[in-house]
Amino acid sequence: MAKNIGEIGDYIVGWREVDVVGYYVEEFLNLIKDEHVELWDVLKTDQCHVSFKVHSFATEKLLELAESKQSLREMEVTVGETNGLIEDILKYKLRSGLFVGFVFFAVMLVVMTSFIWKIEILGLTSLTEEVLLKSLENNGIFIGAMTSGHDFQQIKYNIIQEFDSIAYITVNIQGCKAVVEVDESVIPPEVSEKTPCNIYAKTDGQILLIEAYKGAPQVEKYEAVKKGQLLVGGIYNSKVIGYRLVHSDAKILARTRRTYTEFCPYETTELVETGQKDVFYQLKIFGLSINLSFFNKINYVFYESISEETELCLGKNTVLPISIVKTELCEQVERTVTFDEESAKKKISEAFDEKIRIDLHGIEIEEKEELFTVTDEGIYGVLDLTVIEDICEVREIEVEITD
Amino acid sequence: MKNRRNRTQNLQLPTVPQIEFYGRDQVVVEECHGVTIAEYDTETIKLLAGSQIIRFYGKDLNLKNLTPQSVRIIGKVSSLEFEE
Repeated sequence: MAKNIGEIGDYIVGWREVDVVGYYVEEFLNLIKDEHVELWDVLKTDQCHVSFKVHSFATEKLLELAESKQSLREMEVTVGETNGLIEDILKYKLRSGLFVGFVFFAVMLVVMTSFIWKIEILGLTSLTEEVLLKSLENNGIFIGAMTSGHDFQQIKYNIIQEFDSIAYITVNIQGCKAVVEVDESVIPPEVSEKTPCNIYAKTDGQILLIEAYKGAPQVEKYEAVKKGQLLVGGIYNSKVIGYRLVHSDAKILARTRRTYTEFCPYETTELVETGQKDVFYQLKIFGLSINLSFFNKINYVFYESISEETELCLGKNTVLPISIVKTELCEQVERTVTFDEESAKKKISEAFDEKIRIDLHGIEIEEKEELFTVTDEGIYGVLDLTVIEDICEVREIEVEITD
Repeated sequence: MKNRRNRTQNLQLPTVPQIEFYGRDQVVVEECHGVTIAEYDTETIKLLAGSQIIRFYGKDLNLKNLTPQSVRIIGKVSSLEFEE
């Protein structure tokens, strides 16, 4: 196996191994060196025996040099067979099956990379993939379509025109895979800033801060408000031009309360992994799945499945329509888990922390109180939170026009 | 002008063999025009460079490459000796 560029070059050019037996091997090596013949892997096995490699084209010159000096004529120079790329090709030329196989492989490779076999969509959240795939199909990008001959600028323009939520789209063909990258536009709020609107409280609470940028505030600091109460009115009385409708805009922070409950029974069942795994392989060619694990059966009652697909690539970007899907089935068993009072409380607290993490991301928690009630079946937990949050809810003012 | 030419001539490197060690596993001797192999076995390699003799001692010494410009020695080199 060639290890570096130099060795690959030697392999392509072709080389021969030369054995020299005689008393003046060093003199012979110097003579070769001075005649600009490159030699490598010079091994001196004993006092009179040296072997080395030279390029195939230099062997004639080598033999001439051995004959050129009287002192060297007594040496025995043996030149081995030529090795290299040409010799390897000639060696296998009579193997017609191999040749046919090679041609078939080359043709298949060209065919396979001429069609789109997979479409990968990245960055899409506002639409379903089916909708975008339908649109791409209308623009000539679908599984089975040719990889070449597409006007990507036109496709990009058509899709941006079709979907308001897509700000930019790129379609790249990587081998036989079309990679569609979507940049979504920021959708403006449903209530336009030109529409007159009021601000209401979206939950009960005590007002701590009012910053009304537009509209007339209807509540004061430290006032208790109920859910749905008007906080900022969009009907504004201007002393200069009288009453007019405005799009209310304000930041109103209020102290509000949140309550969460959890129950943890003393005895419950849960699935735990045993550590046993079964691995299944599937070969996907042109979207067709072939099971490679013929004799494997699923022996587990409960299991978790983890799949990993590895695409076959030529180089970095040319993806072929062949992939190997490795599926690991991790065995699970039902286990009865018992909790004492302390561990049940700990489990409830962990569940509360998870809820806070998800529901109250970015909201300031002012006070936190956990209460536990012990019953025969288990433990009930109640979490009371006092938080400071923005309670503004913008609603459009319905204007009735009468004659 | 004359002074400048003299200075340039002084900056030229002398054509003597340049020896580079890569750890103790590999030695490259460059600028080998006129350097000849005087002795070669797996424990000693003796090169003649004009009036100087450069001798490498070690174990499993081999000449990996031999070209008119350079000699590359591989093996475990234990010492290097210069003789006049």
